[in-house]
Parts: sequence; structure tokens; C-alpha cells
Amino acid sequence: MTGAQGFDGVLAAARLGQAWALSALFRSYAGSVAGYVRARSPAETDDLVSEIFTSVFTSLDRFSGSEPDFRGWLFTIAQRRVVDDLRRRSRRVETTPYTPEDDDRQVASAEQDSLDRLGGQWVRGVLDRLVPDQREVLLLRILGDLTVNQVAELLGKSPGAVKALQRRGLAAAEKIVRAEGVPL
Amino acid sequence: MDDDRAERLLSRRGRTSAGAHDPAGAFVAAVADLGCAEPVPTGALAALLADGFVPAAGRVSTPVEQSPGRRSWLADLPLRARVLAASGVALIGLATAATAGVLPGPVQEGVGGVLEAVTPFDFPSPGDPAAPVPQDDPNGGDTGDRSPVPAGPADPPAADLQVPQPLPQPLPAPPVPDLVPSPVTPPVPVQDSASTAPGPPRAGTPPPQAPGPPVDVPGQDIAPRRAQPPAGLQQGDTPTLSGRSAVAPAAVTAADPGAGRPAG
Repeated sequence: MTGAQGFDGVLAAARLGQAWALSALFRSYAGSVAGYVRARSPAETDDLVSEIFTSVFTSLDRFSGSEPDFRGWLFTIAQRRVVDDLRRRSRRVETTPYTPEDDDRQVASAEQDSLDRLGGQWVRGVLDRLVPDQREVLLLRILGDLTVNQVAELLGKSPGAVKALQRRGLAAAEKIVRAEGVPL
Repeated sequence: MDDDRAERLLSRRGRTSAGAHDPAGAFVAAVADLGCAEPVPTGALAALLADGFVPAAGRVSTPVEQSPGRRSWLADLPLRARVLAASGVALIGLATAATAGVLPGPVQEGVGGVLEAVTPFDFPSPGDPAAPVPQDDPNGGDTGDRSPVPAGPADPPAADLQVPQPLPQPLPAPPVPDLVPSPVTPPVPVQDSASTAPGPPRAGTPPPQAPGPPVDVPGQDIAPRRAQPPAGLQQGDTPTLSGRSAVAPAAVTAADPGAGRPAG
């Protein structure tokens, strides 16, 4: 996070509930959190991301630390929420009819949307073929921008195990991409 | 794929010099692109971002920083070191208690034996005179092999041996009060429907009616019953020890004052 206020100032103002600080935090981290959620649980991404940030904003008084610490804390909450959501979905299959009037998602254009969807589907297809631990490590490292030690702490593994998982995950992804090619 | 290459790919988000020709780099870049689209806040988050919130009065806006000095050094240790430290503290406490001789007898012997084996020190055992002796043991406890035995005249003590301390003179036994058997109050029989034993006649009370046949009520057979003495047992003989004495309490009292009390 950059800006005149700096991370500490924004965090202090967000603890006081000031809307501008909450918005600044959301703009800084919502994209990467949404990417992580999309890769893990693509249905209802916006709702899940909103739940995650609501939980983060209402428990800011429990956090202290630097920006990398905040990022690790944020993705710890995100990871648990996604796991809970996946468990909930595995227990019940729920369908909701689509109504265009209620769809307030914003898209740049139909072409960009189709390109994004195609790229997203492709990368999700590759991720789905990885071992779950490899997929988790790669997502937290790429989208969360977490260090090896942060990922190890979050997943309850040793740093050596995380390094091995990311190495094997990248090798497996490379093999898949080499065999199938990049769609775009 | 080695660790260095993996780390390079991840830190540069797949933007390597190989560009699109690097399949792993293309994959990492595509994963990173998943986070480019900002989501739309919904529900409670939209209200929070628009209006903010008022922190609750009880919530401290600034968390208390844990000062490095107050942070427990034990929390920084790995689990194995913590277990070792806890074991050391427990061992020191046990050794201290064994030195003081305050452990229970078997534990004191066991711990003292182990510590004597691994250290050059002697530890008191429950049989030692120096060990604390329970107050209710007038003999001074068990005088086992560890207690110093006064050398006899045929066994003069060697010069380098420790002269045993004379045993303390036993305290005179406290005077035992003269146990005069107090007159035993005859137990009052339980007045219930099951008991038909007539108690001692009370002044002013009419004599009991003739008892009917005994009714056997389950669970109420503890009350003394009036029964015929068994064969060979006359009134005045020592009754059985159970509550179901075959002799009526009044008769027991008259014949043997101590017979109504439980033995022992």
C-alpha cells in the first residue's frame, strides 16, 4: 500500500471505522483476495469476498503488525472462509435461477469478459489437476504474495515442505501447459 | 524445476525473460491475472465502505503491542526444548522435595535411591531418624537398614566411621485414661410397622399390645427384630455381631453391658 498516509496510518484510521481507510484497504487487497477465491471457489465470488472483508474490518482491533503481516492475516481469514464455503457447498447443492436484473456485476466489455473467462477457465483447469496442497501453496504465493514462511505457518507445514510443494506444483503445471499449450 | 527457478518464477509473477515461451511462466502469469479484477462489494461490506462504522466503546482501537521484554522467551523455543525445560523444572522440584524428605514414603525411597545413584549425596529415606516422622507414630517410624545402629562392645567403631547419634529417649507414654465402661443406654428400637420389638417400658406409657406377626418389608430389615434366640443361645449370651441380633436389646443390656457395642 502506497500513499501519503502509509499503511500504518490507513490501518489506524480503519480501526476507527473511517470509510476512506476501509475503502483504501479494500482497493488494495480485494483483487488478490478475489483471485484466490475465484481459483478455489468460483461461485459467488463477490459475496464471499465481501464476507471476508467484513470479517476483517470488524476485527481489525485484534490485528497488529506490518503490511506483510496484514496480508498474511487477511489470507488466513480468506483461506478459512473458502474452506468453510467449500464444505458447505459439498453438503448441499443449491441452485438459484439467474435474473439479469439482479446481476450488478460490472464488466468492461463483452470481448474482455469472454477473454477473461477463457483465461480464467484455462488456468482453473490447470489448477484443478494439481495436487490440492500444491494448488494451495501456489495460489497463496502468487495471489497472496506471501512468503514461504507465511504459507508454511498458514498451512501448518514446514518451510521445506512448502518449497517442495511449490516446486512440484510448478513442474506439474509446466508439464500440462507444455502438453496442451496456452490458449491465448 | 529446482527451488531457485521456482522462486524466481513466483517472485516475478511469471514475467521471466523467456516470456510466452516459458510454459511455467505463462501459467504463473495467468494465475496472477486472476487477481486483477476488483470484486463488487455487496451487503454489509458495501455499507461499511460507504459509511464506515463506529468502533464499540469496549474495543480498543489500538492493540497493545507486546513488548519484546515481556514476550515469553519460552514461547520462542521449539516444542522439544519446551518439553525439556518443563521436565528439568519438574526434576529439580522433585529432587528438592526428596532432599527435604517431604515426599510420601515409597516415592521418597524411589526418588532418593535414584538420586543417590546418580549423585554423591545422601538423601533421607522414610526410615531415617532425620526424616520427618509422622506425629502419630510413637516408635519413630520404620527403623530399617539405613538407621544408624549403635555399635556394641564387641564392635568398636572405627575412627573414620561416623559416630552414631544416640537414639532419643522415648517419651513416656501418656497416661491412658481409665476406661470405665459407661452404662450403655439401651438402643431405642425403630418404631415402624415392621418392628415389633417392644422397647424398654417407658414411664407413663401403656404397655404395648401384643405384637402381631412380623411383616417382612424389603429394605427395612436393618432394624433390630425381636426374634427367638436360636437354639443353644440363651438370653444373656453374647449376641452375634450383626445388627440382626437374636437377643433383644434390653436383655443384652441387662446381661452384658458391653455386648451391645460392635466388636473392635
